Amino acid sequence: MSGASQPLRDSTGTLRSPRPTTNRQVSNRATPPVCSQCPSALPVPLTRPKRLPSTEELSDQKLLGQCADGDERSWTLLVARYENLVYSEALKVGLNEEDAGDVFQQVWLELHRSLPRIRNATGLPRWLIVATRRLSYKVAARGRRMVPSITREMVDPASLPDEELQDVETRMRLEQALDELGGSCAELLRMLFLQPKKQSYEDISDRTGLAIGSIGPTRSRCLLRLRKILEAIS
Amino acid sequence: MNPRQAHPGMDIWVRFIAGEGEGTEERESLASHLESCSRCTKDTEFLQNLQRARRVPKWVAPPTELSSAARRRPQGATLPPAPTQPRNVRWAPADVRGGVSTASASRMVSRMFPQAELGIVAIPPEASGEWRIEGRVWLREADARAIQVLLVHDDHVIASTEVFDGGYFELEDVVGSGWSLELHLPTGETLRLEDPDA
Repeated sequence: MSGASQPLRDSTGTLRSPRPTTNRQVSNRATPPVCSQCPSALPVPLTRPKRLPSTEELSDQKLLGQCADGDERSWTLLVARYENLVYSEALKVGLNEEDAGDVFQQVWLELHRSLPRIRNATGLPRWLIVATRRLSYKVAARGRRMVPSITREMVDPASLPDEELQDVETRMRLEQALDELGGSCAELLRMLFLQPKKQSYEDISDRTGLAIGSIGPTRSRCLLRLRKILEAIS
Repeated sequence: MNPRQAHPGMDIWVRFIAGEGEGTEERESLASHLESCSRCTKDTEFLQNLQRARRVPKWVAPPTELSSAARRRPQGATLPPAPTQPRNVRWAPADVRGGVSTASASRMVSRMFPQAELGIVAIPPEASGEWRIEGRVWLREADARAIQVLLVHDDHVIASTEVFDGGYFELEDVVGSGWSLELHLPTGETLRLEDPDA
């Protein structure tokens, strides 16, 4: 199909976050900001980095090892990969933005302290969630905050639901693979699979410039590429 | 299914996973194919994982200044790795006669080892949910280097501090059942006290 080779429209910088009064914005890795001026709340097009290092270069295992050896850049990459997860988890358990910010900072200090003894790099998302939940409880308890959703059991790592954790890990791997995939393919798949609300083909066509009839074949090709990357990550 | 669809393409499986064509002959044919085709099962598992990722609540980026600060590597001493052969030390009920602690469930350690002598009290959580662990460590041979004191749970270093020969330390933190306190002596030996309630 002719539309299959048609490049996706590059609309970088055409839209702005709907909340200009705050410097907090919706993650550009998990879910793009929503455009308040668009007719059906379409996500803002993403600005992709020029090129990210390969998945192998960026594996948690390698990053943790290099961080333990004192490498600045690896630390920065590691925090960049997981900062949205940590901050969102602190908000999700019920903390306000200020307390979530405190917890956010403490989690990274704890990770830094713990670097020499983290043996299971594949469990890093779990490690971070466990630390975030415990520190959220601590901040709430010390500040005598009455947050009904924050309970003492959050201090116990075993209280973390496995299913929730698996979903997060799946999402993390997917984000990592999409970063590596990059370009128009990643943008299309984010629209198709990572938006909380399903996007119609008409919306996707409007956003990407793809003919409606070529969305399916393009999606198939992109999915195959994504799967290869995911298999490499796993 | 026609011969070209011996292994249906990804796009067909996307529609299948989305539940399209419910009750149609094509869907039944696809379902039947799926039962006996490991390759297509892998395809559909991959697609189901994509659907699963959508269930994760929207992630929010931290404020820029927080992010920038976190991305700068924290400064501070590098802590020792998990000890391979720590010497485990047992707690005893606190001796309240000396006024060390009034909390009935407190535990204490007062022991001498070839390298060091310990006097440590662990006070269990009350309303705040925080353990308080305090005490002193005296080295048997003078050493100007610090003793590292770590409150640990699994592979989390919950809190840490340094203390010199005979100095007082105090750690207070929320920590789950099964924690341990590690004392890393300048000689390289590690003394470990495990959660008295575990």
